[in-house]
Amino acid sequence: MKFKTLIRSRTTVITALVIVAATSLGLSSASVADSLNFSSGAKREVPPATVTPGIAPPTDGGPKRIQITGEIMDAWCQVSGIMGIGVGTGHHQCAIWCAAGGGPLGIQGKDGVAYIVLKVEDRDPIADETSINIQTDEVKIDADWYVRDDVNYLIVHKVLDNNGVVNQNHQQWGIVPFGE
Amino acid sequence: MRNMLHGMKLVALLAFVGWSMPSNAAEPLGLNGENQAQVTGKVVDIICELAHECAPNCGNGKLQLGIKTADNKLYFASKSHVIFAGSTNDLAAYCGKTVMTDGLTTTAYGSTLLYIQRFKTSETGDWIDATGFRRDWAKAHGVSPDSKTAKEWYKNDKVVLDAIALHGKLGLDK
Repeated sequence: MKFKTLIRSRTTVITALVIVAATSLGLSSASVADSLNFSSGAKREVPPATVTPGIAPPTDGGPKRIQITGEIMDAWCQVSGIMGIGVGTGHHQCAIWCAAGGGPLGIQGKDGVAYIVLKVEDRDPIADETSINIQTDEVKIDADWYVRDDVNYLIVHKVLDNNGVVNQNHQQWGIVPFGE
Repeated sequence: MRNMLHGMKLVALLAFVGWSMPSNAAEPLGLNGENQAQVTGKVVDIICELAHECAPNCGNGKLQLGIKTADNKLYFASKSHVIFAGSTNDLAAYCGKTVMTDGLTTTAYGSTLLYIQRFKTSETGDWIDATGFRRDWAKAHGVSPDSKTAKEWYKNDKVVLDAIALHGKLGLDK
């Protein structure tokens, strides 16, 4: 079988499987078909497992008081890569869903580190209104930084600046997932 | 090729949330830095572990939780078996108790997260699907956990709808 034919047939099978699976969930086949139609753009990069933070990590696990800038995000989608992207306007709606679902609030630091946010200004993060309403915003924060067993955690004392939504990637990616 | 990879991931994701769990260990999803993870340990409040500020009953469902193993390794429990939902609803009832979890870890950008697909509370107990969020959401909204409304909770949740009405789907209307 020629390569192009193989690719086409595999794509057809995958699409059919998605629609069957989605039907079992009660999703419309159209919306699922849309979800496969990620906008063309730059090839997705495989993110690094380890990164070098802009500031030296706490050697004793923490806390270390730091000020960093980054984008508020759903940490699960960003770290796992399950949606293709986990930041930016293209992922904003998904980030709202995940925040409301009790997913982990995170900050994708400009230093490349995905930080887990455990508290914001004394507010508990799970499905909290503040956590939901600052999704995708670029913020500068003052926080205690902990590192434990390959996870970077922050307890945010204060949001120093909020630049609003800066990372506009929806023209490249569309709205993920489901394309709508 | 990129669309194929996304499609394959979506197939796997939908299969996990829509179909019953296999009897064997968690199946791969092609996540970043993915590893199979069967973790046994105590359910703990992460803030309590790190900062020693310990809320009663692990925060009563309002704090992020983890699993601490007998050799003191802390796993951050970030994802459940419900689409777009975390695992606190599954673990909160077992604060301080030992559970066995089955799922995956994913690693990227310097952090590792645990995805719990199912768990059990004793070696000989039955596996419990990690669908506590949908169970609790359905109860709060007076619907069956198996209803379409509950399975598509993210389309029917007032907090979500209000936020998207306020921000727009792209967040640019803030």
